[in-house]
Amino acid sequence: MSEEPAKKSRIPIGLVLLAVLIVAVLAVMAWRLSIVSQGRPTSGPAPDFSMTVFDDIEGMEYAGETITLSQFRGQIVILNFWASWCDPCRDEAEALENIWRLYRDQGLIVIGVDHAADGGPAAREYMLEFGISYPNGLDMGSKIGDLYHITGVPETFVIDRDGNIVEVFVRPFRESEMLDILERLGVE
Amino acid sequence: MLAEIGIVTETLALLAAVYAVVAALWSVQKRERRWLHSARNAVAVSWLMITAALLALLIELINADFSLLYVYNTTDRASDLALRITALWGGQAGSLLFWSWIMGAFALAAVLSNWDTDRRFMPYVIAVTIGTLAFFLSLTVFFENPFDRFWQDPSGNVIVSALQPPNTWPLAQRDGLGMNPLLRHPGMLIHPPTLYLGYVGLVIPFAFAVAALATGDLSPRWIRATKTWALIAWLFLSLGLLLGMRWAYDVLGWGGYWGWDPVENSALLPWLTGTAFLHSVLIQEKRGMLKKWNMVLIIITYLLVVLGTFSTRSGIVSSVHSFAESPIGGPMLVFLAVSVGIALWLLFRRWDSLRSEAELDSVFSREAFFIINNMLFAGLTIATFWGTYAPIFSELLTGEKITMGPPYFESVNGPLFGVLFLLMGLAPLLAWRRTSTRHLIRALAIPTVLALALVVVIFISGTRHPVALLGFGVVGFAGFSTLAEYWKGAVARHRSRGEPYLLGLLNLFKRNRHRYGGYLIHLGIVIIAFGIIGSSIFQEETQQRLAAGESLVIDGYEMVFEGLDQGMAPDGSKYVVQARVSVYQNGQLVARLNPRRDIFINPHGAQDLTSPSVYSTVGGDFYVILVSWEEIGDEGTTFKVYLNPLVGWIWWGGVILVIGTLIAVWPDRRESRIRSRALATGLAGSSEVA
Repeated sequence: MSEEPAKKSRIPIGLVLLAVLIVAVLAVMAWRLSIVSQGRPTSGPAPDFSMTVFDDIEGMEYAGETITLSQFRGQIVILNFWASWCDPCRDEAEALENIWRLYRDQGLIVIGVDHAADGGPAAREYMLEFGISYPNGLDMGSKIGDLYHITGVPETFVIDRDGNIVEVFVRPFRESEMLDILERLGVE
Repeated sequence: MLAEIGIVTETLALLAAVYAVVAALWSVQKRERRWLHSARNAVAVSWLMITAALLALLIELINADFSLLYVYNTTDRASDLALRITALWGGQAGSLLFWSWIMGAFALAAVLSNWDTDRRFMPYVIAVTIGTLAFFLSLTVFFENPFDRFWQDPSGNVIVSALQPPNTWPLAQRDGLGMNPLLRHPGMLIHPPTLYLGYVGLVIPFAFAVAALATGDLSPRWIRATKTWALIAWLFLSLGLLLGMRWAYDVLGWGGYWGWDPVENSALLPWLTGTAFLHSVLIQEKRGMLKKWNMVLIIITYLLVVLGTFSTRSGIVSSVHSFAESPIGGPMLVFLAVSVGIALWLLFRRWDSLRSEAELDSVFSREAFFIINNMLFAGLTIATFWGTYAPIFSELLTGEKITMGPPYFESVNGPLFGVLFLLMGLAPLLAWRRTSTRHLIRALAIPTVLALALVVVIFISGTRHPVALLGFGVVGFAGFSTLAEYWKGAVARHRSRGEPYLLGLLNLFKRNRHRYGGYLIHLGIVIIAFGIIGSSIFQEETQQRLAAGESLVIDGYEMVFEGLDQGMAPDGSKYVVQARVSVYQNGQLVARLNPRRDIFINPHGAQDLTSPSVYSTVGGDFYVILVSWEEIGDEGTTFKVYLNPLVGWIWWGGVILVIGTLIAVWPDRRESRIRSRALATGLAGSSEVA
């Protein structure tokens, strides 16, 4: 804000600094935007991964086993990223358990991926609270999350019988929306 | 049919807007008036077309035409008329159209009301405002069209598109999804439009600033032309923030009203720079100083307005407020870079001509304190900006996301706001240019003594918290100093004209609306500050499990749990669980409250809405939330109770703030007479150095 009499054609350092700063901020935003909007696969083949299912939850399918996504080719997969500290995830957990129980015999599987920054007793309590029986595992080192470029939880990917992503929710989904999608994929 | 009308009119509006920008700039190139007239008419046409499109969407919403994706997403058959109207801005596509409509209205009003007085500015004012409008319209036409419809092809696939794809037929859904229950609150219904009015209003001063830079007319003319616009924008922005706080307090059920969430911060940032701007332009008007700073400030304000809109809608920062992810992030960023780039380039060209006309005479002058005030606002802006976007920057630099929580904002912004209140109390006591020490001491005496007395009273009444005592003292000083200004003014009128004190006070407002309206705003802010200090430092909470007939005690209150009612709402839309509790103070029944939980069953899955129940007094709120209950019987219902001292002062301070701003912006007949006379004699725009 110093405004002493200027010499002729002096380069206004303050203004140049401001411009550089603004350009830097916009560049960082653009970088972030490219991650947020282009990184996440929204169609095409779903990236394959392996995950070890929790072994300390009673009644959980595949407990203690290591499962891979590709072994479910021919089934519809709902891949749900969650964490015990995420409030909207709680509503989803109930819905996912219901959907899994209703449609598992029609070739549908729900896979829960617990966020890297979670796990432990809180996650265990969460799964017990909702009586979750579909397979869940901890995303060690955020490897699966990185593969799907998630930016937070909850995020949900719906994968069809051919292993292609058909729908992505970067927010809590509504149960009716999910049922609509499943109907389209041939689950009644 | 209505959808087609909407598609055609929004496209015509975009074409008219693009034409207006081109014609306005062409009029400068050709030095021909008729192109400028044509541009002005195109602005009007564009706005009328947006109005038609908006009406078409409104009728579709009221008719619940579920062949439209937007109608399907934001309403359902159970929604009443008010909810269907507010659905107009309840979703992304509709809110962009609504935003454009307000932008068009403001642009048209600014062009028409300054047409004769500031004709030279008009081509650039039209270019900036309507350029911004054209950008937002293009988002609605190409990216987020509210008139997108469902179509079905022979294989049963459902396609969403504005225009009918070949070999498909229209498909109407049976019922819509309805608006998110969390948003069904009166505060939330008017909060978005209020914020938009604030955002859009700030584009007008930016447009005039660009016009001043482009034409080379660097006198305070652009500031005078937009002072009222800036104040109105500021009013709506403040109101938007307050309504958002009220909504959070009433609906979110966590006992607070402000969580330093990215979405909240992105509305606060332009408010901070806008407030700084309202003060710093006074210095340019009075003393011909801070010309460069004012330009920088308004450019940054514009940047923050668009950045706020961008960051909340593109999903680059995670927030508790869920916004649907949308494809408009990329175009918005490009638009932001281009518009700020042009403004900075113009500023660079005029940099040397924006030299100050005066030097600071003394540190003890009003202008010096205004400059410090601006530095503090700049500091607040930087700190808040950093805290909001820290996760992004830290991830870039260290690969790890670091999220700044409320403690960061409170510890950094708290002291800065404290110093600002000190300045708020001091600045009005100082004269322009310089103030003698004797005068200063005399002026300081009364407010200081009263503030100290206030601190002593609060201390005696049992408050020992040092930060709170300091805060109340500083804020009280600002309040007493402002009241003293009214007192001095009324006494002076009583002495010189023999007016009774009360009449003298009223006449103060008449003679100088800006100044005394402004002081009323200060008083409103002081009252809000009391509420914020009280409720954030002295909040008490307890969570207890009660059986029917049992009670809990918190700081002089006793709450008795009488019983629980539950059942389906008559319209079948939700399951309601409601507790009956009685609140006693000193053994006297003071309130019967009904904290409740609404469980919306369909089609949102099962979404929970926690409605706190509140007993409000001047001293504070008794705020109770129903946390959980047993399915059978009244055994073991858990309540969370908050005591929020002084929280009501925030809302009442807000009311005073609104009244003060209205007084300050109310058109002054004398002023406009002087202005038109000056215009006639060719004196308008000459710099006015007091």
